[in-house]
Amino acid sequence: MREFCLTEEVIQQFVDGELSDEKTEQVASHLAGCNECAELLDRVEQESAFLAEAFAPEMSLPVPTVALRERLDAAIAAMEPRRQVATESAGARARNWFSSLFASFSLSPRTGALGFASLFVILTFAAIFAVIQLRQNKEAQTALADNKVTQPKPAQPVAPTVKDNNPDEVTPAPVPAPSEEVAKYNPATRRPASKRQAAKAESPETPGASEPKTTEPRLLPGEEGYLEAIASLTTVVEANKNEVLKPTVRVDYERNLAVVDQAIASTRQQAKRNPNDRDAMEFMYTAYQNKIDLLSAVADQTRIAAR
Amino acid sequence: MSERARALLDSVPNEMETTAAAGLGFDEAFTLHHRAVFRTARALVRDAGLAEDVTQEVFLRLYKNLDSTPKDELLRAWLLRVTMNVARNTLRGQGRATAREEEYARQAEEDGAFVAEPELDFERRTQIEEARRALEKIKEPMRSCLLLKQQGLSYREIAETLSINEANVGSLIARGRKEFVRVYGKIGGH
Repeated sequence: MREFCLTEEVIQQFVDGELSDEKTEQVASHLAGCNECAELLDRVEQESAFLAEAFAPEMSLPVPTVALRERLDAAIAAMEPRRQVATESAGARARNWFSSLFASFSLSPRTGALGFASLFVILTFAAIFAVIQLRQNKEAQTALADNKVTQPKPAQPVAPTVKDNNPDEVTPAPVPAPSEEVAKYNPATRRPASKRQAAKAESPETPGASEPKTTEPRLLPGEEGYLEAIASLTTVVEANKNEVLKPTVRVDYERNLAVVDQAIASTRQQAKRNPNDRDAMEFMYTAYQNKIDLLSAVADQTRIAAR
Repeated sequence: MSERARALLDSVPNEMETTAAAGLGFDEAFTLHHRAVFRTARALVRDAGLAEDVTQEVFLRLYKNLDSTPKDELLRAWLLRVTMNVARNTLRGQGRATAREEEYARQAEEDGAFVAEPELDFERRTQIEEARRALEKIKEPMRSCLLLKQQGLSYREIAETLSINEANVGSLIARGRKEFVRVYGKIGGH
């Protein structure tokens, strides 16, 4: 079997999901019967995880989306005063959102995308929840938060989650559960969570069943675009995921979705409670953005698998 | 685009569309890619404020050249290529200041009071610094390959961003990864 043994380069491509389907199958069947190559695969996977872990803190640093957008809009407005970028209508923004998300369907095949997105989602929330938890500790409301831990939160599209949230409700966000997720930086150590979360994944879903109404009076500024985009993308993903996503990938997706939804719910509550707090707002947008990233990655997957 | 997606897209009323045709694409590009741009810039210039400047410059260039930039999956590669160029120029311009800051940071670090990003706890800050220093020790183009890989780019996008042959990306990543693990182990004593 020696002459057929895999090079490290091929194994790297295999780990990164960059091989064609046919080649992936060949590599997988070789790995099943060759101890040497299986050991090499093990090492490549470990080192890749190590690399991801080393960069995790850097990757989980917050991105100042709102500040960047504001600066950019100001610069564009100064450059070209007749174009009112900052004041474009919600409808146009929603439409942009739609097209941007569907554009993601034409991204290059990246079978590793979901894996990356999964890890990324988890890592990003490390920062968010650390700060939220800090804030909540300050507000001395942790006792209530504990009560929420054991309540499994079904993975559901964000639109209903957000809509059902009573804006005046002061129940603190369910912080401990996500923190638990967040502690698992390493994809390898993340595995054990699957079973627990798999149960959540089974809960019924109503994708896109209730698109956010534009008349919703309590939406925070800029939220609408996110909600519309998420609702539509969720519909597309949910419609295809059962046929095309592998069960393990689907469980990963469901779990990440639950984490993201929880993050959105809690960051949103913070943002509502502190409407003038830019950080709170920033966290909420980051949470939304993460959901978009996750859904986009999954949409990409479903597209590749459906070919 | 699927029929389903097209139907959803068409369901947005036309009268709501008020943006100029040139504007379409810019917002979506920002929404989808600003984080990769900002993160890449921050990893290169090692300063959030400078990374904001770089991000701004990158998207302004996109705005000005919207007609001539790739519309499809290679847009992100285009953005990150510009990001790397702008970041490099920024660093060059900041050369003296950066050297001074680094000297100060090194001094402060030795004194146990590194305060470049004061909101982060010490352990995390140390880890970020170690990863950045290890990455700096990796030769190009392996270093950029690793950096872009961490941003979730496909081999094709990495090849496009760095103007290298796609067939070489896998081996560059494998070599860079091995080198990083070796160097990082030395730096952090892991």
